[in-house]
Amino acid sequence: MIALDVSILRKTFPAGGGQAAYVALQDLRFLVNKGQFVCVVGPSGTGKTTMLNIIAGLDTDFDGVIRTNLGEDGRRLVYMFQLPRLLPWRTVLENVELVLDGEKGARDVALGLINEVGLADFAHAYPGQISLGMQRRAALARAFALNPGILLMDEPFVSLDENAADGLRALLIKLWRSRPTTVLFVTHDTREAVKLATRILVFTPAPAKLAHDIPVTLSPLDRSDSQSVEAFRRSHPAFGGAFSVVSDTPSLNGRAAKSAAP
Amino acid sequence: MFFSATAMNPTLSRAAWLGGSVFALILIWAIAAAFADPRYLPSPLKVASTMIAGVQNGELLYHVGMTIARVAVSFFIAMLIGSAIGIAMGRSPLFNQFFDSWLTLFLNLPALVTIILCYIWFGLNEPAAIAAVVLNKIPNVAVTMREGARALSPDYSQMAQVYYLSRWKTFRHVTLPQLAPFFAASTRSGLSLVWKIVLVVELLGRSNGVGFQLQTYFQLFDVANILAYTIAFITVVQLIEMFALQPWERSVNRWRQ
Repeated sequence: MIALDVSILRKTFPAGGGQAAYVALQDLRFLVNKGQFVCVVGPSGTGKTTMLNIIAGLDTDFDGVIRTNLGEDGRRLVYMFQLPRLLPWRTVLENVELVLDGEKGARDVALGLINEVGLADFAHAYPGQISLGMQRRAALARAFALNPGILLMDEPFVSLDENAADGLRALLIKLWRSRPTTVLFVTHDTREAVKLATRILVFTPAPAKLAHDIPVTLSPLDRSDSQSVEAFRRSHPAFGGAFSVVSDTPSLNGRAAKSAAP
Repeated sequence: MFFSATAMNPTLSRAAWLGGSVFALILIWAIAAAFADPRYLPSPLKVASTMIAGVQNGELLYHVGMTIARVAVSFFIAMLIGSAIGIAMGRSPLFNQFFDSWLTLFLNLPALVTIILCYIWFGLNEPAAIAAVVLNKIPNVAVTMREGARALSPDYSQMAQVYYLSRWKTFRHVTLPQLAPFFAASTRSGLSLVWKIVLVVELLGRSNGVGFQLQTYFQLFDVANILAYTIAFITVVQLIEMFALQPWERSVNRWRQ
């Protein structure tokens, strides 16, 4: 069953602020099956975030069609931003509770998720009092609180040290297994993609199109082994030449189009 | 224990400094009064007994109460209308372009002019008095709230949209908290402005309130009563500041470190 049908003919940013008009996405089409964990990789500035904004409905100024199939009633399309965007004036618990429509037992649901992401002791802390890694755990709890049918994620583990990021990846996989959902996960880090995805979409430089569509068949054990991850990465030419960027500064909206390092 | 003891010290020493400096002021006043003509500068004791007499015969409390009621009513109306205008101007460039010159005009309009015109147009009555204060205060609130509305973070409104928050929830939990510091700023500057304008309004066209009493005692050349009313008034303002405004600001800013 198809959960997500993306068909963006063209997305242009008009000229302004000293920048010329700029085509961010062109002829970008792909389908995502229900329950897949799809990672989108591509050089920074390809418009990956722009694509997520379009799918999430934040950006409606584009040519094309997005079709979503969320499955059962009550499931929703949820978008996790690059920065946690927790409300600083609400505690972790209050942040998670806020998105739960004041239903009965909302507090218990929120507390359960906070417990699951390992923040039980920080439920009453304000976001400013906890580390970025912990804020991202809270953001994960908030995202899963909405019972996502489709979960869009925009480099949610960027600018963490590798240990913290690995912890969060493991947590995400755990949550995804216990609450199966379709994930579209944008990253510029191909290692991260291999660790997480069941399928990897490689984008071309802007204007972005699909360059490669790679199934990942590694076992959970192999994914946690950096050598197997490396071997998989090397085995596929798509990860090699075009962009071997491991860490660069991701642009917030994909507009600052600079081709990635050679 | 060690930490709580050191934490107590700043508050204690602040209270000591406050008490000391107020005492010094009264002392200077007492010394000056000893040399001056008591009709021009009565002693602190004389003013205190005048104040007590005023409290006992009920006059002082009545007039201070009237003034506070006017301040409260005009303050809330002005905050409401001023916030609405300011937020609208901050959110809509069109609205802002149109009303910006009006705002500048009203900001620079002397309070006295508004008061006189209100009395002429609407008569020497309570609504005219309130309207005059409100009109003076609205532009200040609007300017501050416009800044607040411009500073609203698009990141949070995107979050609210993507996380399906209702309009009310978004307003209550996403927008209002971002505006809180601006509300606090316009409350503070607003109250101090309203206090002063209300006195003038009362002096020019009301038959009760602190402003009216000051006018009466000015004509009677009764400096002791003028000072008694002034001190009573300042005390009430300070009490409101300490026991209403400051606790509210603290609770709003709890999340800040």
